[in-house]
Amino acid sequence: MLQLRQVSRRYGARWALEPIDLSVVAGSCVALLGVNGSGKSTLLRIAAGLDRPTEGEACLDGRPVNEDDPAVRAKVAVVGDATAFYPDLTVREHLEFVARGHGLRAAAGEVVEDTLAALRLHDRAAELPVTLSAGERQLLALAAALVRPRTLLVLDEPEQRLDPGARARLADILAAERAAGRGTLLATHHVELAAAVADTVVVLEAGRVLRRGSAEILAG
Amino acid sequence: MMPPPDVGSCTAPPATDVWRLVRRQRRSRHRMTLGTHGFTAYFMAMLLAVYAAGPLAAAMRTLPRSPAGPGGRDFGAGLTGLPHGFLGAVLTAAFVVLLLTAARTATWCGPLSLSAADATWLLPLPVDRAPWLRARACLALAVSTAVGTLLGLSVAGATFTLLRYPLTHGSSAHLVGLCSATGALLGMLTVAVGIAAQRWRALAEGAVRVTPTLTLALALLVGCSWWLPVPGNVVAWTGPWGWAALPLVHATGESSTGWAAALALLAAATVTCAGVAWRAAGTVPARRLRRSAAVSGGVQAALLVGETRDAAVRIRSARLAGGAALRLPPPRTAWLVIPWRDCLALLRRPAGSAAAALLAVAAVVLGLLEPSTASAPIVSLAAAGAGYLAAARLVEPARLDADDPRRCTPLRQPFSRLAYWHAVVPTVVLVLVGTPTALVMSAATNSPPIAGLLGVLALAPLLVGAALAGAYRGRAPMWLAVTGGDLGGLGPPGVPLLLLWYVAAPLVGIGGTVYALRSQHAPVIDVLLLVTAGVALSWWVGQRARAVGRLAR
Repeated sequence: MLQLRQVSRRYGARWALEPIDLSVVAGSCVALLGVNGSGKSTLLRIAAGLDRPTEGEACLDGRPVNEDDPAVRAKVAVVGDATAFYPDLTVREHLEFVARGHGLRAAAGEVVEDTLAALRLHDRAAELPVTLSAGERQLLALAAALVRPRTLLVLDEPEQRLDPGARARLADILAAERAAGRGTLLATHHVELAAAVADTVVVLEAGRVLRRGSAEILAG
Repeated sequence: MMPPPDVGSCTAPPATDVWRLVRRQRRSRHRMTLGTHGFTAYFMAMLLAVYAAGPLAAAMRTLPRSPAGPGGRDFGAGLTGLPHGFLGAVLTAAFVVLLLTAARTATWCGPLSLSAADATWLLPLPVDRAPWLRARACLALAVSTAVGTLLGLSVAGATFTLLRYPLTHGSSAHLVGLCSATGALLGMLTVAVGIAAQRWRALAEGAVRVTPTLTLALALLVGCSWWLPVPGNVVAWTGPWGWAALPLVHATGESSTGWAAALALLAAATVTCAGVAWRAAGTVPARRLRRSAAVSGGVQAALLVGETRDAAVRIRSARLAGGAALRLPPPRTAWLVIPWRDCLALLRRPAGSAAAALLAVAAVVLGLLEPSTASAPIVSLAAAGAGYLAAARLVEPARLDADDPRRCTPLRQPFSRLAYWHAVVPTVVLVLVGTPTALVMSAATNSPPIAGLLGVLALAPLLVGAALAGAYRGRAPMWLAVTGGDLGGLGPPGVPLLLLWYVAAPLVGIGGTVYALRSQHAPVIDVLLLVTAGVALSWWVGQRARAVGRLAR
């Protein structure tokens, strides 16, 4: 599915990411761990096509990952670290907009209602974003990625601002992604979340891979 | 949870359907949005009525009466006295600056700017965004054409009604036609250049790079055209900037050979550029749209609360690219930390530092010109202005501290004392640049070099002190804006007091320099006065820095 070959990224004179190989296959979850500035978000941005590597290539199903390509946008769902909302659209309308924008027609309403229920956002469905808490805004950003068709889910620290209950639901959702045969690339500071959902864990430090392996390496 | 269908089973709808959907969804709350816009318009109208109407009416009353008719103002007569070719050169330079600004603006904003919400929700959709972006480009081109036409009509109207501009040939309809046509074409061209610069980043970056050199060249061109029309006439045929100037020059009655051909060339260039921009609009990369949405949103928010400095810093940050290659070894003494940081800031902004050096050279050259000419007061004022601008550019690091004093929290020195250390590097730079210039000027004018050197040594600290006082002035207190009373028909004193808050430091710096350059006193008295002014400025800088530091806590 997703193949990163010798991908690197340089900002000015500083290498944010040194050449790295990484693949995410269907039905697997890869978790990126590391301190701030270790290169997790840079790697995610390249994987989602939001940034271009200085060297190397990123491909999704054999096609270069580039967000200007509608075929790539149709497959990759991204939950980033910063989300802006339409001040005059309700929570439900945001999700309906995304679902219909991805071509869902009759099923859109049902998918939206199910996603609202799964993330416990149904009570806030008719509210405008200005009334949401920081955690609820994060859930809305996550919901927007879940209501649309996708083959790869890319999440940048999705556990931020979530309470323990919502974090547990997030873990369930990521497990469901694996079961549905979709790939997940996750950057997180939450070791327990990575241990619970990831098949492969990659620990980054200063733009380099420090350790790589199954979730058991986290025990050490 | 019901899973969404597979990617393969969904076909992305046409882009137009998606935009229609979001418009329909938002329509139910249109009244809320309209209410917000309405309130903003009302607020702006009230501001203009309260603060601008009075001073404008008073300014109009001060214009001399025209013999052309009752109520007319004889301002236009001044324009007819201009040397042949000067107006054309000024207009050409102004239009180059306009197009350059359009290209430069694309580094952080541009005609195809999206809102942050559009960037978050529309850009990731798997639809072809080209039709939507091209529709926005068409709208921007149409709006700019309309605005350009209105501006052209306003200029024409103001020229022959308000100012009673004496038309030496042609008719008012001729003037209106040429002004509105040129305005419309120039408006469309400006937006087309902006869109092209958004698509091709190298164009925008190139515009930023050439700005200092081009500005200097344009200033020289305008200066030369006062005496010699040839350079202006030649430059007028080098591109759309000049083709736009020639019909306007003709409209004022000055002879302008080939103005009709220039207008035709301008129309052809504009249509071509608009076509290229329309095509390019569909292929502006998403990451550029997202970035410009973030920066322009931040700039708008800063401007809405009157934080002009914050807006300027955001724009400058958007233009920065890459890391810092230049390094300086850090000092061993804690007190030298601020001069070290100031040096680094100057080295890492070479264009700004070069501009400051050029301004300092210009100040010394103008200040040491033969003072016997009739225009000596204006020359002294220009010298003082250039000197102040040079100092103001050099104290930029101090301004950053004043913007947010928390930047200095890790340092152990009091914030107000750091302000004095920010004076070191700018003063040294001004003296280092000014000294050789003063020696060269002394040799050229056969005057004793000691006078020039003393002038540089005495005035550099004064200008830097005034610039620092400006940097640490802080936000104007809001009570100034609502000060009651009446300034003899000019309305309430709120606006003048606010203006004074901002111009007090430049006035002191420029006024002091002009006084020193024009003084007929004995040098000892002048030096004593300058030392007194320096001490007063130091006290002022300290007071302002203390106040800014206190507010930040």
